[in-house]
Amino acid sequence: MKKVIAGAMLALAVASGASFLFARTRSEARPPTPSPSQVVLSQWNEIGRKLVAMAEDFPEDKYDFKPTAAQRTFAEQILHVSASMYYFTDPAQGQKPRYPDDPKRDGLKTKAEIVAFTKKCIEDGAAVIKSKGDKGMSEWITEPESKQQVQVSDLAYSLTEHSGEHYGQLVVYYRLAGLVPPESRPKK
Amino acid sequence: MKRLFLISVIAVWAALTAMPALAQDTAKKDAAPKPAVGLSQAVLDQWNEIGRKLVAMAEDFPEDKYDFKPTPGQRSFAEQLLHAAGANYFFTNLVKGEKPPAQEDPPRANFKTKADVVAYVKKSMEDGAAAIKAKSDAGIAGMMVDPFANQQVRVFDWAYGFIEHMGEHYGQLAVYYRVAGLVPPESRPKK
Repeated sequence: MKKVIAGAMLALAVASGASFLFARTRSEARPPTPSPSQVVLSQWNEIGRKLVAMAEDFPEDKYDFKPTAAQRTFAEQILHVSASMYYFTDPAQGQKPRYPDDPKRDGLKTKAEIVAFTKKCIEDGAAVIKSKGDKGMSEWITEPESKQQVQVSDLAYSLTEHSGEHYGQLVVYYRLAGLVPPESRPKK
Repeated sequence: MKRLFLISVIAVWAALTAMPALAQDTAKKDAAPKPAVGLSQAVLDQWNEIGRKLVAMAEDFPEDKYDFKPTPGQRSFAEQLLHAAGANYFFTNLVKGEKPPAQEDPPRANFKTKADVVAYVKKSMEDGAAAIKAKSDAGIAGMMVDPFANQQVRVFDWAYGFIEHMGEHYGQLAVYYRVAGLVPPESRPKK
């Protein structure tokens, strides 16, 4: 359990430069507290890292795999979760989300194109978090669909959770395709 | 995309609007902005939203499939729920100044019936919610120590880490549903 929790919480430690969560003991000096925007950025990047790892790792000839007919394919899951990130990135900049609908699979045909798209979606969100800085995390913005006032950090965390849901689905896709998810492999 | 996104992030707004997700989807574009919620309430709403979805699955899934797993290398449906719910105490206990759970994943043998598992999942969500409610906005922005990293973290950042963790396991269970020939509660037509 601790290892699993450590993985989930890794982002909190990454912000302070911790190399590995359990390398530390209580007797060691406590690292500096990460700033508010560093923590949000770390959680954003951590789930992003896990999604990119899957996109890069999953065999291209299985990119259209889906467990049942009613579900998205692996590629469609990746495209959906990546494009959804602009529901944070664009409103945080006072703009409407640029992808009101999932990007079409035929517009991004190869694995390389999808990997590049995913990376860009994560990087664009990360760039906004960085540019907002610590004060920007507590700014109020109006979410364009609901017209609800939300804090920048809360909207970022909503999308982080959304990414987690689709990452979780892809974990099972891996297993059903006879593969082991990258995070579940023995660490080198 | 809009509908799915709104459903997934509805917790941010749920407390204020008391509107179902689909009603939010039809909000008029020219509507006036709704008032903001406090920091503690925003965390609580997101906690309760993913908690609601997990409890709905726990209550809905057939008991005779509780030990279903898509492949042998995975947790069963019940073990997924026990894991996600049990992990929450690494948030709740620490926020209350208590020790983290000594036990690894709660053993399935200790929760033999569906009713036992449902009750445990509900209690986990309620205990976490109570810990968040006990914090004021200032308190939820206060610092605590992450014992794994020996790191100072803000309480709400610690909470959001577990909210995301629950999301990962909720996502896995959505696929369990499909592979078991069932439709997840959130994917059914709204009544």
